[in-house]
Amino acid sequence: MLQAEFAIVGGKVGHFDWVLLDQEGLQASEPARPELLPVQSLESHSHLFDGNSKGVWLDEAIAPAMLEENIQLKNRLLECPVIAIQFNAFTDGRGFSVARMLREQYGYAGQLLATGAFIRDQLSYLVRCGFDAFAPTAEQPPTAELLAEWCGSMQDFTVFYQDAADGAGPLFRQRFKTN
Amino acid sequence: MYVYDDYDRKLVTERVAQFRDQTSRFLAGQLAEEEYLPLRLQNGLYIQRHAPMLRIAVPYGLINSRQLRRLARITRDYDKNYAHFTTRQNLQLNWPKLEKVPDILAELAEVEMHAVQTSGNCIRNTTTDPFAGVAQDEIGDPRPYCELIRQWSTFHPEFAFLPRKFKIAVSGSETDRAAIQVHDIGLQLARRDNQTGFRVFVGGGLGRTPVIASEINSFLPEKHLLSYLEAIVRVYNLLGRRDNKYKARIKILVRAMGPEKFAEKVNAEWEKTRDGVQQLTPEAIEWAHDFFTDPDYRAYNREQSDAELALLANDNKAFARWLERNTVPHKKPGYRAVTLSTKPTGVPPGDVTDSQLEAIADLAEQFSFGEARITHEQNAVLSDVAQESLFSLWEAARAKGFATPNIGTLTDIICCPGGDYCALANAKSIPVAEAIQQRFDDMDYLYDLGDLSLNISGCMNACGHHHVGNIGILGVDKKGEEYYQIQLGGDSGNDSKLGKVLGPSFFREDVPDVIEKILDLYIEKRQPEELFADTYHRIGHAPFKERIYAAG
Repeated sequence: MLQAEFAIVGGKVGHFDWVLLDQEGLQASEPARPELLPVQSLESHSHLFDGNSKGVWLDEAIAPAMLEENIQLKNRLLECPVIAIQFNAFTDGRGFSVARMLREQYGYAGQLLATGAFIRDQLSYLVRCGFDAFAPTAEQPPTAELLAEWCGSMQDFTVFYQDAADGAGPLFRQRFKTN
Repeated sequence: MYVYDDYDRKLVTERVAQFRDQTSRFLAGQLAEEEYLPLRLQNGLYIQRHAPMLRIAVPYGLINSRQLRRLARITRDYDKNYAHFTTRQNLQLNWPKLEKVPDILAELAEVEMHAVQTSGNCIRNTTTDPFAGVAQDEIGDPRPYCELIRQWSTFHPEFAFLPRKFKIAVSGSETDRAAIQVHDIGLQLARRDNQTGFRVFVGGGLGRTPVIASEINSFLPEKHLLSYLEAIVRVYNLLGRRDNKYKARIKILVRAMGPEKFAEKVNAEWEKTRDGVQQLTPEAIEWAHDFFTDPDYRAYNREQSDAELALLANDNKAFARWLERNTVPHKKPGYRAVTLSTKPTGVPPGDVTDSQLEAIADLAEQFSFGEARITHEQNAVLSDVAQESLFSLWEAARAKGFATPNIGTLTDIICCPGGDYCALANAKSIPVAEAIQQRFDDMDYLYDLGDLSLNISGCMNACGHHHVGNIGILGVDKKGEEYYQIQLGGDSGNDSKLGKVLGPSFFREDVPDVIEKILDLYIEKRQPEELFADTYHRIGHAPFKERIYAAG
């Protein structure tokens, strides 16, 4: 799997310490290493999580059905300190809905990390949908300098019409508070 | 009309800054073409056959004189002195320069306009009845709800990368003039037990796979409007197909799941959010309505005003015709709503020059409280004209080329820009419209035919709504040659129907002859007062087919 070297966390660029492992990579998992394992391994390799601080990743394709149909898996998922949502294509917007559902409906309070092919110009929307960490992975991932520039796009908008995972609330409610 | 406050102004200004930055990164080679593509589309910018095309949003078709004058100026400063009204009640510029588009957006922002989400795989401009707020058959004014939907859908962070584009239409009257059943979501305002709400339709659409929408909720109370819409779009965003763009619209999902199952999914999702913060408060609903109160109407005596108008019409046949075809009754005594026709013979349907935009601005100011509407039939409406001013308005409109008395007739053609402009088109559509207008320019003949819709699309994306025209014409490409397929029997109102293809397609130059044969058969077979659509449905498809193909 493609790995990220840098990430934006808390609005700042830093080294990205997590290692992304896919199904085949599971054998190489080491207890002490910070790893993001495929979400299915919560069931198939549950021992890897015992007493270890591991995160999971899931992609847009498996997320919706999984959240709805596998309650046991969902509960274990919500205990993970990091959930990464992998964007296989930046034009695939399912991850935005999955993030909001995790935050707003399932009350997930850990780190919600975007990985994969999302782009800078999506940052402000990703933030609103509940992501708080961003580790773009690509053949040529952005440098730390470029990623620092990306941070500027996180606040493309400072006013919002509609509610989202950021708890902004719909603007119509704010309008009456101030008037 | 909705008026921006500081919040709205800040949002459009921030959007202009964002797009300016994106465009400069693109021009500097820092933003890849395929990444810039959806960003520019969500700002209305296409790269077309000859030049970029910029689609400017006119929310639910409502526009004021100041905005019209600014648009006229923009067509002069940045384009070739004309613009085009679209079937989504928007306005298109055909020749802007890409690097100037951020400047155009900044100019628009100054008059409370933008090009947000006029294209791309997101929620598009919500459309409605051009006679909203003044129609005699209105159950409730749809415009406040359109505005609430506009605000909810604008920069919606979850729904900017949907499987495909998403269109919502709202009708507030008994007669549906917003074609809600051929939209991704159609909302029909309704009243039940002294409550206002909506019948909710989903999964309608034209394009490659035309479908009439299915009703999934027979009464949604108004306070739940936004949470319910959000549930529908979320289900679509998660489950809609993304593997094939031709199967990605919500209509395909609804059809695959079945409307009942789809409704179940929506309800399950909605249950989780219906009592949350998105629920519309009574204050919010009242606030939205307050933007659409009646203008300062004068009190007229209906009988007296109608009698005076009838006298004028008696004396002047040309005026009488215009009055009959281009004006409709109004909820207020002594007023009528007037349609300015953009469809004289020889002008591409929906095209308006800079001076015509200014003329609409002037006429709106002089006769209709400074506001106009763009219709999905690509005309302009002045919604509040006093009957005593109609004669002066008619003369003024005539001088500007807006008084062709053909509204609702054969030559009031809905037509996409077609192969003359559009990169997607298989065939030209404007020359076909022109040839038909030239062939049938005898007004007596047109009036005798009565209400008859003729819609032309230059490709199966169906921007010209050919499926729902009584006569629909579709441009097709066969080995590099342009041909035209003809369909009959479509309808877009309460009784929406998809037209049926007549048979093999025709050369462009033969289209007017074929239309004439169709009309001849209608005239032979019709019963007194029977409209084309009714005759067609009574006698059926076969006689038309036989007449066209058997005669050779």
